[in-house]
Amino acid sequence: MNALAQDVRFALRTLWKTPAFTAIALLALALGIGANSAIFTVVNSVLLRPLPFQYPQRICRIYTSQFGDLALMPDRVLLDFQKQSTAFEHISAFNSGPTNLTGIGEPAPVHGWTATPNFWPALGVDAQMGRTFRSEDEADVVVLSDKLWRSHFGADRSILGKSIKLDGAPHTIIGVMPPGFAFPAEAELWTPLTVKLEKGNSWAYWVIGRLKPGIGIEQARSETQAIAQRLQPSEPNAGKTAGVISLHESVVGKIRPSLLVLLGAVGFILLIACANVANLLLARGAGRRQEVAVRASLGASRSRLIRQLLTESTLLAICGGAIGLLVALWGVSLLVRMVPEGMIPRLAEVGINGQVLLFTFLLSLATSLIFGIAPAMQLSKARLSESLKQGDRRIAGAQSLRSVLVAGEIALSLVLLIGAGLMIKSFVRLRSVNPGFHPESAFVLTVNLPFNEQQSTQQLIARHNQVIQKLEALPGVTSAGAVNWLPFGEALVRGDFYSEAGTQPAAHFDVSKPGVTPGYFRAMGIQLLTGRMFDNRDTERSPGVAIVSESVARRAWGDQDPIGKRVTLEDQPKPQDWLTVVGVVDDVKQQNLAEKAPIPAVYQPLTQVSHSFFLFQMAYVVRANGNLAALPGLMRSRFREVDPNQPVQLMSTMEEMVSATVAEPRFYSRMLGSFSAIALLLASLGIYGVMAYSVAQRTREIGIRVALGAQRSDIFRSVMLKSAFLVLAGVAIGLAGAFGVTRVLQNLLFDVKPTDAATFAAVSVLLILVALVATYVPARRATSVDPMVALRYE
Amino acid sequence: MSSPILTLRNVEKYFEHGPTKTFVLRRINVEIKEGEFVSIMGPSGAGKSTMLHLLGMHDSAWTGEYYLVEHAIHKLNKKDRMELYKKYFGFVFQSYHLLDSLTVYENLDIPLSYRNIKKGERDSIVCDVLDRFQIVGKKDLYPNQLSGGQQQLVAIARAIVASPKIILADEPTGNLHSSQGKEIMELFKKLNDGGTTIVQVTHNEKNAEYGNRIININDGWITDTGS
Repeated sequence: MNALAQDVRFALRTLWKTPAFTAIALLALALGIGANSAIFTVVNSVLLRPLPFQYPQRICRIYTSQFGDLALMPDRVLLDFQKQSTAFEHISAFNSGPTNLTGIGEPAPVHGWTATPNFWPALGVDAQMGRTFRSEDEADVVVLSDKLWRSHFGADRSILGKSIKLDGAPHTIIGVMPPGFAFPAEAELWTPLTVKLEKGNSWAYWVIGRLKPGIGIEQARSETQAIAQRLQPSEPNAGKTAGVISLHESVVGKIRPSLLVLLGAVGFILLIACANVANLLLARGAGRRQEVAVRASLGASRSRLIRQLLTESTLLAICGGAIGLLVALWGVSLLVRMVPEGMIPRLAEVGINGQVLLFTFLLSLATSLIFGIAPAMQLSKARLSESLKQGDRRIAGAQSLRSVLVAGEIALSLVLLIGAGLMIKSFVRLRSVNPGFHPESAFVLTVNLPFNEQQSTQQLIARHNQVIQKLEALPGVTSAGAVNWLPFGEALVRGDFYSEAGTQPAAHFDVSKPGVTPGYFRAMGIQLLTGRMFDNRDTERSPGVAIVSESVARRAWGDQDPIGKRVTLEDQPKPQDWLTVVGVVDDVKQQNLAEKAPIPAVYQPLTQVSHSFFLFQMAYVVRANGNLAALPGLMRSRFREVDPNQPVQLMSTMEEMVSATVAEPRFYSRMLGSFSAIALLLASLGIYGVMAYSVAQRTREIGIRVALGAQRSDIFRSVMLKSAFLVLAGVAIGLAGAFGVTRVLQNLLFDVKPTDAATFAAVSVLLILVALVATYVPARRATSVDPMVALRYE
Repeated sequence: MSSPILTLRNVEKYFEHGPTKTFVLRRINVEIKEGEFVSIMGPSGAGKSTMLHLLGMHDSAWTGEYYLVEHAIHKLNKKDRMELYKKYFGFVFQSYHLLDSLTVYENLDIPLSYRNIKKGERDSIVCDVLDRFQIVGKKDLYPNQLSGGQQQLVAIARAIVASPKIILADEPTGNLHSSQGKEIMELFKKLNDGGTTIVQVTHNEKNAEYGNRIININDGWITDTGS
């Protein structure tokens, strides 16, 4: 213990006496460890920490049907499933709920959910104030999240029993949930859900279940698949599409690969920082050779010398880790700000805690071994009798070890750079995709009107038309329109499409089927390819018409003229369900720019949409020129003139909406770009350091060469060639490494292969150029060696 | 007559350059008895320092037989050699080789710490040595705050602090002016009178006269063992 204290004291003094070395090493380590701690903080909070529920490992998502990403359970199946399942003690269903909060000042959009009463025992959470649902509760009660209670009700402790309006209907507040509880994603309030079968209507729900004690997920999965098979005999794949996954996996499973990619990237940065510090230690070791030899001559064993040297590296790493924690603190808050909304679940839970501190400490210790062990081994094995002679400052093998480290740094940097290059190329490709409309100067305002079966389609259409008329009258507005399912919006209604052949449906495929007003195509900038737009002729009473997207026309009729053809969106069409095609428009990306094939669309005039259900959600689109800054405020106030109690769900530009769909790739590009820039900087410093040290060591040799008649250009070339050899070796290793590693990016890339040759080549050339620039200064210095001075060197 | 404490038999050291060998020491046969004060002399490059470092086990790349008292050093592994080295030897260098980042006190303490002596005992030994060498007032100074003579004094104090039986000194006065050199040699003489065996390398005949035997070496060969 005493010896350790002595080693620590000496190490501190040694580090204090070499402030430049210590500062540079600390900076590199703080950057490396800090970046790792920051990403680990996110990984820990999102992936590793259990969900904040009671016995969270027993909570599962259950589904019997899959619609793309949606894994749901139809109502009929759910009711039977609840009766037959023996694996779960609570099976709860939930679905999206109210979206409009009124009656407390400004109308506000909210994330509302409906959930069965056993939602709370299934999760194992209870209200912090009041209560959750009881089976006898009617639909007119509501439980608030802590966040909503604070933001909209000023944390009023006497709020229980008060009434608020949700989607226009009064609800009594019965409870407030504890802080941090916001399940499902970003939920702000919950109303009771009663699952019952409705004649002619079927609903599907998200379902969670709490496993009975002692029951495993596998057992529950087998049971679920067997029940699904039994309950849906008409669906041969019912057993295969049914499943049970842990709620944790369901919440974070999708983001895991991306976070692990980021963790890997910062791991590379730490390794590069370690190589740099190891290089610094080796360079400094040359100056400490005599000290180490003297210690050995005074009786220090090699293990004792290594211990002393490792004490220094450990101290460095721990101090670097402590500064790294500050970097992490800053990095985490930056990261949380940078992450696009909704991309990373549980982001609100992200924070530095005891586990992060322990991770940082252990990482610092591991780091100290990584960068400290090789220099310590090298330095401690220096030959004593030669070391004790004055002026001999070389360590056998140190230069080659430094070269190996630099080549390694270059290789790691290249892998990171190629990763970033691929992400950036993918992002650029994605951004250059034509969405099929012109998002520039297009503004959008969306609303979710409260669902009310009493409202007729005519009433709803009149209301929407009234809004459009007011928007059209705004200064600078050139066109305005409305659509019930906006591209790049939250949802998309799809259904069957049939084209007519004789009197029978022929071509049959899945289409999106938005209802639009006449001005919609102009407002969005969607190009009419042939035929006409909708206009005032297309009324509720006129014959049904449709405008189809180009892909529909091509698939259904090939080279034939689609104008005048008849289509239907019903599988058993009545005569009035047939629509005549009056125009063809460009295909429009419906959900995001990365859609591989366009989703075919059949547009109907809003006036001819027959179900009022499709008219409650509406997006008003306005195209304008001139001063656009005031437009959002004006659009909002004009809308309020029509409906003062209706909250606006979203007010945005179409550019922002398109941009939001590429926020994830943009985020990854920025992150990997930043990491690779740091890596490139560290690697350049490494190359500079090694070459500068090599030139300093060769001063005498260079002096002799010059004295013997060597040209400056020969000296310059020899230094540059040595560097080029190192760089090319690093690039070769890096290319091989990147070839294997970039495959993990496969799912994050758009229209770019993980082994894209152009990116590999361009990035390698960039790295070589940067490395050669880093060598230029030492090479120039070598050419300016004065032989007279050099030969007196040492 | 006392028994030999250091014996070299047929010791050779050479460097290989491809097929050729360059000998630094050739067929060295020498005995040094306990309590002797031996000076090794010879021209530059003769192999004096090499022989001293070989005796001090700083070098293991040689052939022949080397006995330290009854221990056959040539048969021992590195660890055992190190244990014997710590028990028997103290080393003094021409350029002192004090550790710059340590105070005088710490420089004296460090050989003891490498011998796993407890802190309390170390403190008492260091204080005793500081007192014997009359450098108590300098114990908190760093080497660069001392004159050359003072540094060598500390270096010798450091060499004897662990009570070695043998002191090996490589040109201990080489960097000192004559009066300082004389003081150092007087100190060696005193230590030798106290029973410590001393082997020094020197160019200076006056300094060599402090010893009771001179070994001459030339081109790696011992030309005179002085016995």
